[in-house]
Amino acid sequence: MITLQVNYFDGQSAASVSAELCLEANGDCQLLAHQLQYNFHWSDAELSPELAKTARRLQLPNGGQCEVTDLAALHAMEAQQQDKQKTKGLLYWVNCMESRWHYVVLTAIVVISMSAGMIIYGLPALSKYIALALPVSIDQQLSEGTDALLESDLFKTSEIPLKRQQRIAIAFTDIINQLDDEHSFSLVFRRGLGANAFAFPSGVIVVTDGLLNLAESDAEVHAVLLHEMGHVVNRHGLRLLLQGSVATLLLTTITGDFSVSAGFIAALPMMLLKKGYSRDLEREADDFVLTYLESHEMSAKPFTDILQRMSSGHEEAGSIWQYSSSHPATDERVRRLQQRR
Amino acid sequence: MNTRQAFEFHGEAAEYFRVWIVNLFLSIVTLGIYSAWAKVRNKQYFYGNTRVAASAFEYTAEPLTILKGRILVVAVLSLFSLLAEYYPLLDAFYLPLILLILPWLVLRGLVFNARYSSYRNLHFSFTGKLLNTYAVVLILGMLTPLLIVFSAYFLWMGSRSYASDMSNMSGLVLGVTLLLFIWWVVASYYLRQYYVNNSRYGRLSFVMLASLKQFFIIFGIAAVSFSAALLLFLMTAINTAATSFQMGPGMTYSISIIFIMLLYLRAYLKVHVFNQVWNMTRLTDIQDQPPTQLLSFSAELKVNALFFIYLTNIMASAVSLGLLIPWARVRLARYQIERMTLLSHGDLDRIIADEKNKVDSFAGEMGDLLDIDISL
Repeated sequence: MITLQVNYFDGQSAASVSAELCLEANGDCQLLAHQLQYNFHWSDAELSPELAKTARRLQLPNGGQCEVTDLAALHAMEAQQQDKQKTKGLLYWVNCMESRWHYVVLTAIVVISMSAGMIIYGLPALSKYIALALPVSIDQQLSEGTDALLESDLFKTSEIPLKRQQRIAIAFTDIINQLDDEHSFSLVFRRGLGANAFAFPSGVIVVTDGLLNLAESDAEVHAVLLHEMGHVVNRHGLRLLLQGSVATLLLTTITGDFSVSAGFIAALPMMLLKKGYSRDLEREADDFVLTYLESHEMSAKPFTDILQRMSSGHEEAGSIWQYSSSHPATDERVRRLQQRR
Repeated sequence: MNTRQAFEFHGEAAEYFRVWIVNLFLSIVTLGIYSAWAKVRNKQYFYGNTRVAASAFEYTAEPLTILKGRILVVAVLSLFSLLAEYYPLLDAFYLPLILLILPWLVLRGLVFNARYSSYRNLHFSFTGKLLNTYAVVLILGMLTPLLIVFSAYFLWMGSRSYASDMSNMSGLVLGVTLLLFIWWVVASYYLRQYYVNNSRYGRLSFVMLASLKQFFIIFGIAAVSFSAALLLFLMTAINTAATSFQMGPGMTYSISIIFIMLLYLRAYLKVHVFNQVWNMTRLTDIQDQPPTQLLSFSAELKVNALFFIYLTNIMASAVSLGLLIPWARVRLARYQIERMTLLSHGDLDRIIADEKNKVDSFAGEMGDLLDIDISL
């Protein structure tokens, strides 16, 4: 016979009665307290699963409940009655995992590596798969407002001679015809924003006068245009959007609440993550340029030349700031391009 | 007979970390199915470690019920978005429909949560009526601010066709700000009143005695001092470095300062509203004639202490990439719970179960459809 001190709540009032619970080997139980005696069978009572050091509760057939804080004595009771019980519940195994440090370390490693793997490899792969399956018309919707932006104060009309503009536009059309892509590409010349070129998901590609003045040959301009086409063809705008929003959703579900502070907790890692995604896509666009140049047996040198010229002056290579940048360091890009040859 | 009993919290960070990480692990491995069990276990940990008058609280919901509720919500939402694919017109009804369903979901969540929270084998209950819920959640909580903003917008559009007068404009902005402020206070007050006054423990009803005036004082002081501090900071920031509002370290610095100010505002409001609401809440037996007051509370949160906990919790969670979240949660729970005291005016044993509520199993069938917490 095992006896146990419990607090008894009858389910009718909030009175707490200290009582003694006696368990016989055959499963007969007796609850004894001042002016109270109640007999029941162990298998008719329901015992709450174990959770850390919190009190466990034995729900009795009469609607009453025993709160047990002496967990060791309760273990002895369970052990005695074990062979008569059916199967151990799911939460028994959960508690086993929680109470052993080596399981906890193991689960922590799995959780951390799976989250990291999901964020670094899973999400980009998944969003690439989804983006490439979606119709091109979505890119059109993503680029709403392109015209307004191009006509805004940010830009002025290009001062590049029309002859040169036409020459570049013809080369541009040539490349597009070889690409066999569903996007409706167009090329726009603008002055402003320094030496720059960028693409909208819809296929509108903008080159600035700054960039054209920096370029020493048409081949350099073509390489930059190819890089921007790489962004469009590989659906980078859509993919970045998908990755970013799913990652935000994941982070907020893991941190558990949608409160203001959780938003701030997630803000910094989120920013670094999105910049990281963006750098990956830049590398992919670089690869797009290389593949095209290789298939036409052209040199990658013009591309590395203009990359280096664009970066000289305003970039500290190898500094910690490269993790907060949306583009990989130029040195790294050039090295990658040269190695691939 | 008056007794004071302090609330105690017995949770520990290392212990909760194990519960938390195993919950995460199993939720990931089972592709989210385990999350219903995880939710229950998480709640049970905090309830079970909260003790007052030598007894702990208990969360008794069945994970399977929660899982069914979640599946139902996902199914309804997917069905609707699928239908919207074929009948694009439905898209226009999406938002109004969600707005219309939300109060019902809020009510079901509150009923469910109360029904499966118990102390000394007596469960809590929530007796809010659907009509009342729509009035508080939909009309006061969601439609009123929209109405204010939209009417201001149309007023502005209307006045723009006349002479565009700057003083007119700033008057409108001031008016809208004032109206939104009043709405903020009134909504905060009635939401809490709705929550407290519809809560029951056994046969006892919670009654919130805090007045709207006290809320206006709390929110007024908070709003005035926050605006003053913000203005002061912006003026000095502009004076010292006119260029610091460009992207760069200056911008980061400014944003951090404003964030810290916002966090302080949050701690200030939380502390004063929490103390006010709990100190002015009574548990009475309204079936006694005259009604007897059996229990009241004393809450003594401090603004600086809570702000410090908020700030360090956020920094620790961010730096540890989330691994210190369990530590942060336990720490916050301990502070809030241990600053509370239960005052009993009479015998706890006199609290008895409410026979009428005992048979109500409606909530159990519905399950908790949404995780909704009206935090006090």
